[in-house]
Amino acid sequence: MLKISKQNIFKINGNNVDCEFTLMPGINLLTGSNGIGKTSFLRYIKGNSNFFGAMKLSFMDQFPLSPINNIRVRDIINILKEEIFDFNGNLMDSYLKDFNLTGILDREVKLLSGGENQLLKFALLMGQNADLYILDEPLQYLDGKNLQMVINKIVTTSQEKIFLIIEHRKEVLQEVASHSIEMIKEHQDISLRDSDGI
Amino acid sequence: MEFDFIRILLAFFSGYFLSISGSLSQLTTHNKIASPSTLGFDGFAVLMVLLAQLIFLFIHPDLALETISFILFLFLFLLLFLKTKKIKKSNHVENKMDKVILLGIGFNLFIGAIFSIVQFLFMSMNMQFPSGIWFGSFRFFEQSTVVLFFVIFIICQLDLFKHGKELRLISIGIEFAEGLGINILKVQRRFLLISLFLTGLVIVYFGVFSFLGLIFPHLLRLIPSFKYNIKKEIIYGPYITGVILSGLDILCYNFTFYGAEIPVGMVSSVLGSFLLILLLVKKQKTA
Repeated sequence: MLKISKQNIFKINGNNVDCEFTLMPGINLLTGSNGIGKTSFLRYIKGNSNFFGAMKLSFMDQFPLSPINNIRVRDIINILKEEIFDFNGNLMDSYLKDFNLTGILDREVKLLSGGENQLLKFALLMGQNADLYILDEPLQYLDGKNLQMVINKIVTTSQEKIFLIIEHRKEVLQEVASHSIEMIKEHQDISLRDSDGI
Repeated sequence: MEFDFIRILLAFFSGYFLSISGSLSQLTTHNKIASPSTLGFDGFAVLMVLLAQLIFLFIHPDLALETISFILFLFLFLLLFLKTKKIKKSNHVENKMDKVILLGIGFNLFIGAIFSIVQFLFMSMNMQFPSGIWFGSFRFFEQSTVVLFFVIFIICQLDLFKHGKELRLISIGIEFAEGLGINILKVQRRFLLISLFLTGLVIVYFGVFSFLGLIFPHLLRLIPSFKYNIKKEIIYGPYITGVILSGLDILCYNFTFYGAEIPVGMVSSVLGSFLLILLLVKKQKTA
């Protein structure tokens, strides 16, 4: 459990942001109305990696992977294995296998479908060694079997690691989340508070 | 065929620098049509040459035009270096790239217009104008320039080896790399400044090689072993483009047109602008 208490940390659309919330073990849902600035808040954390103290963070943003050149899935994996010293290639490989993505290793990333791209991003994220995984809409583009598979992976991993997740379809994660943090706008202030109910 | 080893070396270094400059622009902005020509770097350097020409005209310093241009360019580069230190976090440029490119092209056109006006004024006053700036050429090279280019070539190599990791991660995606702890703004600032410096260096000494910075990375990505490997494009690719520019220069040097040497920069401008149109059309179709 980690208590965060910070005032006026930054501004979203000219509004001050205050934080007074608790990060619980397991899955923490970050909720709030559309356009309030949840993604901006995560971007702020990205640029201020000490926001959660010494915790090692890993991010999954909401944008599809879109490399500058025509690299294949295999090349991205190689880059991460070679450049991130504690990248867990075996764990990521097992995710790719579970997601049935081993057949797309030689495909160019740009040619992947939205769902494949999302699953690949998730597998790459889980290969990174972190204490806190921050996910911005991890379930977008997913449905049916894949959706359930990603939820199951998050639930399993959350036994040991902490998750902070923004998800608009929050009903799909409500049952498995251990805590909820709400982003509220009052007058010219935006605040992040522990929510009463999940 | 005749060869001049120093000239070949200078053409090689120039091709090397322009290729790196283009790759760095595209990688750090995550935009395939970003290049020194579309970001306005060419115009920035040409402006320095024009200013140097005016200083040369009115003050008559005991220095070559290229040296004055280079000093002016260095001075303004340092100003820009200091000024960009204050850019706020979260202002990284990927999302604004289309606007930046339009601004860059607009700036280049503006400098082109200024260039024409200055050229007209020189001609109307019966004064000699260094029209060679507009189309780059290695015809009037100084042997001593090779030392400067060689030193920068070595520094460049070392720097790219040191920062190869950041570039590889950024090639996957700017947001993705940021999530891995890469300070995007710092990396963008660093490599765009390097790109500007290398382009400016070539322009103040040899004139404009329009769009080479745009063409070269795309040409390299046609080679199968480079297509999937940004590290190879950055580390080894510029050697190939250096050889290409040297080869083009040897051809221009040996095959004259009615006795006049065709500037390599003229050839690159035609090919490069054509490729830019192709890329824009392709991008439109993809969108």
